[in-house]
Amino acid sequence: MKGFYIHIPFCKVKCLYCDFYKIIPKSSFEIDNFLRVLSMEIHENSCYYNTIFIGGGTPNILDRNKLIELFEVIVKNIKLYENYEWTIELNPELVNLDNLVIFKDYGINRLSLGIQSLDDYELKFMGRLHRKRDVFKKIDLIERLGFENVNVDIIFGGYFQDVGKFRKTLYEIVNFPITHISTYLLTIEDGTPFKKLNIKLKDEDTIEEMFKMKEEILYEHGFYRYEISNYAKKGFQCKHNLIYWKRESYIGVGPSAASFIKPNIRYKNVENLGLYLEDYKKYREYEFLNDEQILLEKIYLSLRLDEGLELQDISIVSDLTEFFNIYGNRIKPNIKGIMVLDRLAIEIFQRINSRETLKLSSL
Amino acid sequence: MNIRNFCIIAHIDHGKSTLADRLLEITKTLREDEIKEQVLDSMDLEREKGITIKMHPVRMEYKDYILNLIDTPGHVDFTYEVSRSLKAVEGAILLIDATQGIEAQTISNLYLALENNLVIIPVINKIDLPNAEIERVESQIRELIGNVKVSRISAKYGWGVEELIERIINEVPSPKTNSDKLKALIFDAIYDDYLGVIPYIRVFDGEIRPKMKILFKSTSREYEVLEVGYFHPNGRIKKDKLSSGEIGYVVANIREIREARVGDTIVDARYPQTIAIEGFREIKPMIYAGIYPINPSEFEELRKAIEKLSLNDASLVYIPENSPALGPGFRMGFLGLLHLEIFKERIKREYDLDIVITIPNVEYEVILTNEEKVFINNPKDFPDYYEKAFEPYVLLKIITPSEYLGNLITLLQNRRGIQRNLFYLDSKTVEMEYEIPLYEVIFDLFDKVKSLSRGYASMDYEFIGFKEGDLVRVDIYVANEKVDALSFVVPRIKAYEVSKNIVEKLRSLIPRQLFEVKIQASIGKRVIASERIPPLRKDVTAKCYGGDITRKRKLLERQKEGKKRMKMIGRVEVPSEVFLEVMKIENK
Repeated sequence: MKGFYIHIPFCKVKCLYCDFYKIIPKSSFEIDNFLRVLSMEIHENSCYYNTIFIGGGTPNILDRNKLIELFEVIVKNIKLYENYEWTIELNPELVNLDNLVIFKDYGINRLSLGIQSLDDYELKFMGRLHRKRDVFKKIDLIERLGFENVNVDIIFGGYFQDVGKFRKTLYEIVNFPITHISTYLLTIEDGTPFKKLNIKLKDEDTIEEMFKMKEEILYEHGFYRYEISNYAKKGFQCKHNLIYWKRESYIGVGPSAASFIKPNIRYKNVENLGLYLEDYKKYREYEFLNDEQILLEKIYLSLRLDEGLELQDISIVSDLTEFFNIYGNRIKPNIKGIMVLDRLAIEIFQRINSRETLKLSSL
Repeated sequence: MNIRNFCIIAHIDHGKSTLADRLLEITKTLREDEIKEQVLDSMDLEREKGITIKMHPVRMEYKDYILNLIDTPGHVDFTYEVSRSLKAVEGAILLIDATQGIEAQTISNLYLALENNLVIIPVINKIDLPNAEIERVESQIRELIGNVKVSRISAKYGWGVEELIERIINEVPSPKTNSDKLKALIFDAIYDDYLGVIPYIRVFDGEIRPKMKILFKSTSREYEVLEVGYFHPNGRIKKDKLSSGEIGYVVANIREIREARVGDTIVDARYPQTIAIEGFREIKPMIYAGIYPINPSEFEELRKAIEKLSLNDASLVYIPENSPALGPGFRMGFLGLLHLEIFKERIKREYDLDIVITIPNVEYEVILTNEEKVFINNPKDFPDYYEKAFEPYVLLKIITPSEYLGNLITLLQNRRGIQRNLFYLDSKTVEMEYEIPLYEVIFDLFDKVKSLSRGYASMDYEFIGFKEGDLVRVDIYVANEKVDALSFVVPRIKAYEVSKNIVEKLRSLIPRQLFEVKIQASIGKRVIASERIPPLRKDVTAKCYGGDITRKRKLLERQKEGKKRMKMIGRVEVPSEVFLEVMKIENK
């Protein structure tokens, strides 16, 4: 499996919680410049891939002509295997018949809609431009154009959010004609307005309650968790994201995009559009992972996935059983474990690492 | 030879080092471009903390005079060293910041100087500053030491410094000689990797020269002098001899710093009966603490580091010990908390070792049930049953502006202090004398006194002996594991309150773990205070940052690194600072 990621670093406004690299474009000219250089980078990575993911930023900030320009470059250079998955991320307020038709024409077969919440107060609080009404309209439009694989993103756990409203949002989205739901616990990232405003999360009890409630409602409606934050109907797991999580190779283009070449090379483009345009290769940062780093990645990524982590010696977690369901030598965190997964990942890493004889059987 | 020996008494930041720099410049001891800021304090740490711990003497030549300047440390931990350097000179510059006025701490050292019959030259510094209050500071000085001439200078710009040098020459008496038989005072010593221990001395009588046999009065050991000389900021300058009145150094193949004790007298070995200079005292540690490497495998490195540091610091005392909770380490004796703090910083900076320091404690004298008398410097060894127990007491002197008297009396009463004396130094300044257990002094009394007096009071104490007390050992359990390094000894009447504070403090200092952690304090089997740290409930980053797997990995790697600075107690991870931090609450 091999994935291709394209980062479109433009947004109309910056959402208050978001820390992905993005800027508000000063002119159409700036976007043209970007597309010109991006095309070069795409061209340099011409090859066969299993998946394409266009993310951002807000990819659908591009107008009709620019979208076509971008897609022309993509289809000329990026060859797709059969059973490919091609996703584009969309902000609901910018979804329209025009661009949906273009997506369809170029073969995009998966849409990811950043709805975040179906409560207008919460949407406003987070600095989103769309409202609940827009979501219903756009979902309808998407269905009518025949997109069969659609994801929606939602965010929960902020102190400004409400358990009741969260339940309502969940019950509404499970009835959308969609196949996939990403539910992200709000993370207050350094450098974001939320951090500066000292926005807090709900208390731990409430977060756990929200997590359990979400799990129940989604399972009831046929959405199964296959990654700590991601649920899908059978057969609709996101292939592209699984490439990241299972440490398959992928190439990312555009500022801030990350790439991984098996087994141990990671590199990342500069998080600065000016420098990217000046010389994207020069400012790339490379990393060559050592064995310990590979082990840590495998542990934390596997624990987040539904398949869990297979241990050679299960006894190293014998005092941690309250955090896992155990199937033979395989451990899968339960809800209690999911809540403290970062800590558990480190704990398990240290235990495996301190016994040289023990290695992950999947290594 | 015209010699003038003097020191500078000043509060931190009143410009002592800047004045020293100007003196070096005007006497052409150093060229202007050689003067870095604060030449005389050579340890980084001293610079940072703004205090002088080790004295760096310097000899300057000006016109026909030799001027010897000795620097003085300014903290109660080092009072003895101050008293020895004052003994080595005839005059003292009392340096006061024109914007700050006299700080009470300066008064302590001023009285020490007056006790030693030094000529005092009062100097007001920083007169260049717009907020200088020269008149007010002058009247403060006059109130303290009478109607004297007060110099006004700006050490920064050199204003008035030449005139000050003239005053030193005219007013500080030249050294007097009573005999031609050698008598010299050791006021400091350093360790040199090649030359061994080098005592810094003031020659009072006679002379000292290479090949001469000398005798140290306190140890009665004899040495042959290999080299003598004096001090230049750039290093030592060899001479053929040091004569009466001079200040310099001696190299005599001395192996251990403990052989050259500060305050000891050096005499000619042919005249061993020469009377020693009075005031010599054995330096004894006032407090003890356990020192452990966070990583037990670094024990050997720690041992080497402590050995190295103690080469240069005669007051460091250490013996290996083993703690069931913390593994192998050392029990060490210190002069006081600042001394401990300096040690900690040097271990970290100079040797890059992460260590755990346990709650400091005093030494106890205990008569066991079998009548045997033992000294106990580790609380975990304090017996459950005993005949009698004694704890060290000190005579505490506090000099304070009278408006803070009430606050301080209450504080000292709460700390089991007994008033011995109280009198007015002048209409606004009171000196208080209290007998008080050392235990009550060592933790934060200095800070408390400072804060209750808005920084104006100064304190000093001296050991006066052991007194009986009703003492009891309290043990601390973390997740049902006894942490011997946290055991402490308290007067029985305070046991409950102190335990409660410690247990609460531990709860706030130990980060939440994957499991609930119970913290208990107990006397014997009886639990007297208890707290619980609820388990960690949430530690997860929801998002994987798209393809940026590195970012999350780095986040985990940082957390992983943080865990390395933790000490494992059973399965509880305890940050190394906890052991030292916990004492800060002990005495509320």
